[in-house]
Amino acid sequence: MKKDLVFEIGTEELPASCVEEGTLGLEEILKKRLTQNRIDFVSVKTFGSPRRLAAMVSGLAETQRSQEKIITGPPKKIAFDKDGAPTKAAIGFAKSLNINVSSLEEIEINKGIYIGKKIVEEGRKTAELLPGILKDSVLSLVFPKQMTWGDYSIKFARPIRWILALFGSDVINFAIESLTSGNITFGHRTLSPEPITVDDADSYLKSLEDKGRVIVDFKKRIELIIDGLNNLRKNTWNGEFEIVPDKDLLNEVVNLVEIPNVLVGNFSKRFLYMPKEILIKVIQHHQKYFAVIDKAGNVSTQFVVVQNGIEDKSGEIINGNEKVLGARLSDAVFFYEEDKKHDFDSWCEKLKGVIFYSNLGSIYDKACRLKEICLHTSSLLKDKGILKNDNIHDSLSRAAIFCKCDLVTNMVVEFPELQGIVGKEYARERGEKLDIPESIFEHYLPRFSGDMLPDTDVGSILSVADKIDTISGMFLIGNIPSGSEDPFALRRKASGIVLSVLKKKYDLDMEDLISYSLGLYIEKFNFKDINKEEVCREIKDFIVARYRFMLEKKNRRLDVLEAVLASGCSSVLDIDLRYKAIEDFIKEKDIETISTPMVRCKNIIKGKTFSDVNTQLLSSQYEKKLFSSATEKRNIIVDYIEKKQYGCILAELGSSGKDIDDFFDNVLVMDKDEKIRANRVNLVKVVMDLYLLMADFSKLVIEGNKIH
Amino acid sequence: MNFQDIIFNLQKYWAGNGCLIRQPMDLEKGAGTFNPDTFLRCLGPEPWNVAYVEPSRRPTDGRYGENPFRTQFYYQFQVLLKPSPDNVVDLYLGSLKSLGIDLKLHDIRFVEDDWQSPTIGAAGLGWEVWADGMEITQFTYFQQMGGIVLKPVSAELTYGLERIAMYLQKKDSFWDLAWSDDITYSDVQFESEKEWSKYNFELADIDMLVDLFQKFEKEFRKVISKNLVFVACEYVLKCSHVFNLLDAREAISVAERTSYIARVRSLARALCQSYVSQREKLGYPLLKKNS
Repeated sequence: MKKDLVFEIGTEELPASCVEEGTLGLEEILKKRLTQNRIDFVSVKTFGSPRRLAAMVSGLAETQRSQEKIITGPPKKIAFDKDGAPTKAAIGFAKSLNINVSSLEEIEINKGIYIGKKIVEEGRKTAELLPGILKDSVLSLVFPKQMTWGDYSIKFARPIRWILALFGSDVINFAIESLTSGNITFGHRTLSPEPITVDDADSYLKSLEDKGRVIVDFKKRIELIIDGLNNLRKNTWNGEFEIVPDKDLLNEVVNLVEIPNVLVGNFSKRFLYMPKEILIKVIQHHQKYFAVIDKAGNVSTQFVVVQNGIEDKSGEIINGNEKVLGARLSDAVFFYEEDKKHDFDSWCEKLKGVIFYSNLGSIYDKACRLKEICLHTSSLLKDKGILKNDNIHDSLSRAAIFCKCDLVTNMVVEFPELQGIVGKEYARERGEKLDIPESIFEHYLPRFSGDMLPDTDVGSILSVADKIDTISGMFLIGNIPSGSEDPFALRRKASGIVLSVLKKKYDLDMEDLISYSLGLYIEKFNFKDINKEEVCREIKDFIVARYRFMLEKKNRRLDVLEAVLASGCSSVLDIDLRYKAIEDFIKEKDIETISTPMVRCKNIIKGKTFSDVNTQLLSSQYEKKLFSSATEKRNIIVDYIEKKQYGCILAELGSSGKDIDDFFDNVLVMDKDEKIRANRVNLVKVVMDLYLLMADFSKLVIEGNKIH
Repeated sequence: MNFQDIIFNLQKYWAGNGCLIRQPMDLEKGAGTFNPDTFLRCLGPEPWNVAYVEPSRRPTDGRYGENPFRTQFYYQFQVLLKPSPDNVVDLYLGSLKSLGIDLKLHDIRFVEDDWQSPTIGAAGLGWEVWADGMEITQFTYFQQMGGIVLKPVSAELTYGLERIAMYLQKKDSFWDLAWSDDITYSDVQFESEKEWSKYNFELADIDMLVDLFQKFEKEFRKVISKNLVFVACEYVLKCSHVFNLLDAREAISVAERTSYIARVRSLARALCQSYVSQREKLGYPLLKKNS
């Protein structure tokens, strides 16, 4: 027999993010607890709105599944004597279970044969178990920020005010401090302030919607908002206007209302002269409005409010919102006009007084370091022929010095979320050309996981430099992320470096770059007890760890990465190209044609010391052949490395096996003559080094075993 | 509803709901939270329900009277309910009704806004309350004060009186608000706003302020060592205000700023601990009154 269960935690207004996290958490906990308690169910669906987290469990069994339990007693040897008669031990054990000795069974466990009894424990009634399960689910929900209230001791995202728990039409009774569960819920705070009695689990959603004026299903509220917006586009705007799409804003707004209602307001044309992106952010950010643009992409004076279901009969709601947005926009205009009185030089001056981090100098110091790192990077890239633009040095210098300036503009001080955007617009207005304005915006990218990456070369180099500089500084003063602690988001910054370098195909030696960046700090500030090489290696490992993490997330092979890293290459692009080449080779060909000969070489020379091969001492044709082919291949491989044609290297290595096998099959390395022996070891070493130019293939896991 | 009627209504409403109506404190402070009726009384187990108007000063917010809703001096209406009652939100909504706001016609929203005051080691979770998009109240469940975790938890409701008046009177600027039926907000506040903006930003003597801060800090140490809690409280507030003035004069570098804040916080901690032990020694008199 099955029934449905509805469970609602009624709260005061939850932050939008807690509605999402809370529903996910509730679903997970309920499923886990029901499974642990052996109560079958068909599905668990969760719902949430600002004032409630709810779960609907359909087809919940009315009794727990029964369970077979084995109670083991003494070993058989002790329980029965030679003649098979029960001993005191057996009799005592049977007595303790209140059964006859004759009903004891033999039970085989890994320690041997014991006597015991299999008992079927009948499942208890679900209704008896639910109070504990539901109470525990409330107590187990955790939020990033929790609070207590009144005299209570429990912690939650916001105060809990009621609990509804109905199994079919029966109330599941339990209490958490002075809160007791019942069949009462509350609807919309002002449209339906009276308590609502819910008859049974199945009528919960309908009661809330009809009597309570609350749509508790997140998806349904999103649909209503989208319908409202579509309706506006088609009927009010006749396709002339549309909202600026913003998925994050939509996902937030949907959890700020219990029943959405879409309204359109207007603001004065006089604000439209401000830069488009600043305008849009001011509209969206604090007040959570949607900005509207026309077909040409110009910002319209209209904006869209999603409010909490009140019919705006008198127009006062929209008037109020128009007034608030007007005030915010006047503020923005005021700051914009104030900022017009300044230029980048005066902001730079101001940046000298803003601390980047204690012991790491001012933001202006940082900007100067960025300039140096950028120029160093672009020289490296130019030498390699990756960058061709001749003006890039000038653009990089200006962009680096200007990129942090907007931090001291009135606009960003007032609207911090506009950092980067303001810098870009102000640079454009002040006549900065080429990629400078764009790169000021781009250098903050990516701002979060999955965000876009810089596109221009100036922006990409500056973005990498900014991140390297911050990571270097933080490692120098010991602010190194550990476990879940990463207050300066250094991991995200390191991931940003990896992604940008790969996107732009920048072949940059990370150790070189990091060491250069560390040098700039050490030169200027007093870092006496710092082992620069060690910090440099730590940072390189930290960055490579982000690359490893990306592979891990996609379930790709980590042994291949370890093999590549053992070659000692320190350019992320290079690591990635080698990784992909080996991965491709493994898909199409037999990697053992490469790994087996290499492992053979490695085993022979383990623990030996080496010098150059003496060609005079090479006697057998197999030795001579191996040496000449190795020498020849070395040149070919070095050339391929230069061109980064790693697939070709693997093809070369794959065809080297025969010479090696011939050598090992026909020549005894451990010759009696010490000189010959040493020379042969040196030869094998030359051959193995050939492989190591590409990767240490002995680190590959072949069919579940690491080969050594 | 004119400005003074808003105050009368709120006082009457909260008195009717069990609050003691107190009067502002005669000292400069940044918010009603600094008044010992909140700052100290939120500590410890004794129940405490209070409401009062609090003139508040934020020197850096001065705009020489040129900004319609940003001033260095304004009025808060402060309510502290300890412990926060289960129906605290309904009580709050009732106060809006008492101001003539029809809740069925207006969009009242509780928007997440967690509050922190590093200078007094205080933190709380709550909302800013919007009426048709305008922020009219700060609603906070205090979790910590002077670094001490609070139990029971108080609810603090801070009404921005000018904003509510703008909303009720449908005005676009503080200066146009009707204080009474024939006197405007501008009539009584405008000149002083201009003067104070000029003083805070341009004239306040930096050396004197730096000196005062040190002297007030020293005086605090002296009186707290004699367990004069309420006297010590005033010296914390004086330090805090002097710091705000130095901030407005841009006389403090970023690094110094951190150290000033840490200094005020350490005073606030010492003060709160003294208050807690003083009440304990007194045997929590208000606890007995309630029972």
